[in-house]
Amino acid sequence: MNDSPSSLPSRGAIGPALAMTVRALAALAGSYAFTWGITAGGAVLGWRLGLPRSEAVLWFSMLAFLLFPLMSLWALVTRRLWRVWLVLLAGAAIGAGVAQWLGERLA
Amino acid sequence: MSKTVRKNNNRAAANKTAAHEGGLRQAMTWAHTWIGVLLGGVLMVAFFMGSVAVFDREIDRWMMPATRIEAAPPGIDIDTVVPRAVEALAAGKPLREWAVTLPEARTPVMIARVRYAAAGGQIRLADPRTGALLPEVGTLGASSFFYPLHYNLHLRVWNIGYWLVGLAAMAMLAAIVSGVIVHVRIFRDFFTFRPRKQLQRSLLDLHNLTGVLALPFHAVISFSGICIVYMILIPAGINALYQQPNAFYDQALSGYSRQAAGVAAPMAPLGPMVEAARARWGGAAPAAIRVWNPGDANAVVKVSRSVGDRVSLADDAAYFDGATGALLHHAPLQPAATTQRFLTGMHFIAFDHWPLRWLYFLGGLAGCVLIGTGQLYWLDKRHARHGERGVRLAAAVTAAMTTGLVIATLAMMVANRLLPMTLPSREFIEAGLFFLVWLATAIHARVAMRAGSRTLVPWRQQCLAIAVLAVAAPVCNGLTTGDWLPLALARGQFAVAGVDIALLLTGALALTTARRVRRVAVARAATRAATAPNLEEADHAERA
Repeated sequence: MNDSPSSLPSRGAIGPALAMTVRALAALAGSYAFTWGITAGGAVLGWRLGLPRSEAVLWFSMLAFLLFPLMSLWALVTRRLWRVWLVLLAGAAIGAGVAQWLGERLA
Repeated sequence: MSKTVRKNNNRAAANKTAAHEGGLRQAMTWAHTWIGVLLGGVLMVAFFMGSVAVFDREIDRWMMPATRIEAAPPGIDIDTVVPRAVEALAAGKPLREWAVTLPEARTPVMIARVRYAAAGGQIRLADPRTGALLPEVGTLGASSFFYPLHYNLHLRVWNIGYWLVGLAAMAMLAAIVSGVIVHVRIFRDFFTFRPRKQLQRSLLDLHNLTGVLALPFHAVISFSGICIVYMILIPAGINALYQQPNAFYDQALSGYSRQAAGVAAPMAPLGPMVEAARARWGGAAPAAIRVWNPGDANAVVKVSRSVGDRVSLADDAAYFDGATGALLHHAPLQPAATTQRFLTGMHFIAFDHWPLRWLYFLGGLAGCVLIGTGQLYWLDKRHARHGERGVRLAAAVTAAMTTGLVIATLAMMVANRLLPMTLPSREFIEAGLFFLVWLATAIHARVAMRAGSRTLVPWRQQCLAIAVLAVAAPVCNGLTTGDWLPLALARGQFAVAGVDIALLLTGALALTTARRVRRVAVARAATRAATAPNLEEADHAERA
């Protein structure tokens, strides 16, 4: 098993320490933002499509715990970090947008 | 000759599948390694304490001798014993809420909780045969110490513990996926165990063996574990669709609540409500009774179903009007909630099934071996590459997370039997001792580190400490309670006897390990003295 960070292929122009920080951030914060967006947006969409509120919340909350580890792992192993961030931020933004525009909070 | 040809073919094949295939596996290896190094410690605590918590009720009986009472005869008079326990605990003060957990197969006691109308509350164990409160147990026991350590590390500020354990559980899922990808020859390796080969080979074999053998268990237990605390870790959906989380819980879990009327009204008897609930469950046993605003015209009585006879942790609760006894609400769960409660139930193993309970225990311990061997493998590689200086701290931490965790657990159990019952805040002294001993094992591992040895950590001494404590615990139990193992067995106190047997087996295993560690060290020193240059060379090649 090779445990040196330099074994990770192709990290572009930035230095290894910075690249590692950006990658760790993607695996934690980026993946969490993505998961948050998909969970919120998915729950709202599910509800709009006819699921009871609480059911929509529960399905997407459970899905979140498959999404986060997979996105996080993907962020750790994919070569092109910019693509990882693009997907993570796009997912977070789209999900949050759907939740914002289509959501309606029950009092 | 043929070997060379095969090697060349392999190289050609590797080139053909392009760098991506090799690159991905290399990246997965890197991710797998660092996930394990950074979160292995938290995972070890979660897996070990989770394994211990599988037998939390039994360990509770061991740590709380006052609760080693005979099981209540079936059909206790709920209207006598339940109010008696609640009134004793309320001590005349008005209550906002009370709850009583009824005895079941693994728990001979009732648990009574009250919340005062003013502020604060209390929790005490009670004897279901009479309703009398049992004396203070003076310990958190397995159910309030080892078990919470499993899911929140007792770090309750800002839910840090939940976040750490939740992150570790998701890391475990990522480690399982990456581990499988790293290890494509998984089914061949599953049948390979070479205990007498070189250290790294044996560690990796054991890592692969436990990883593959218990893979479905580890995947399901990690996923279901996180799904229990979704509302803490990812409240995104709740935030998007509800202003009040409580409104969500009521809808999701088919709960019911209403405001107090502010008008006093006597309570209807509980017995008929429990019978009505039982009839709706097809005769299943009740597990708990909870009452909001007792003595109010709008009092609500919740009767929940025992989960002893099925996997799901759905309590299938029936809600009654406290003043009239009329049914207010009882609705089945919807599909997503049913799924979530099933996952929760699979994780909790609250149902009665002894073979499965032992399999859960062994599956959890297999997880500990998996994590431990992974860490030792990494340590040994790092030792070879960076020398002793680079691994001393990591080695001490690893010792604390493996043998240290067991030592601290056993030390707390011994302290539980030796600390006088009259000691003020006895339960917190016990818990404090756990953490002190745990810290001490890390310090000991660092201070007593054997410079120049292959594994650095004084494993033998720590194993001997486990052996001594594991034998001392049943002896202390016998001395302080009179429930010596043979007597406990003869009296049918299987919970206490079972814990004693498990302790003695732990001691025997630790002693065997200590002797084995010593024998290997002696043999190694002898061979080294005989064929120093050759072995050093081979060793170097193996470790590089």
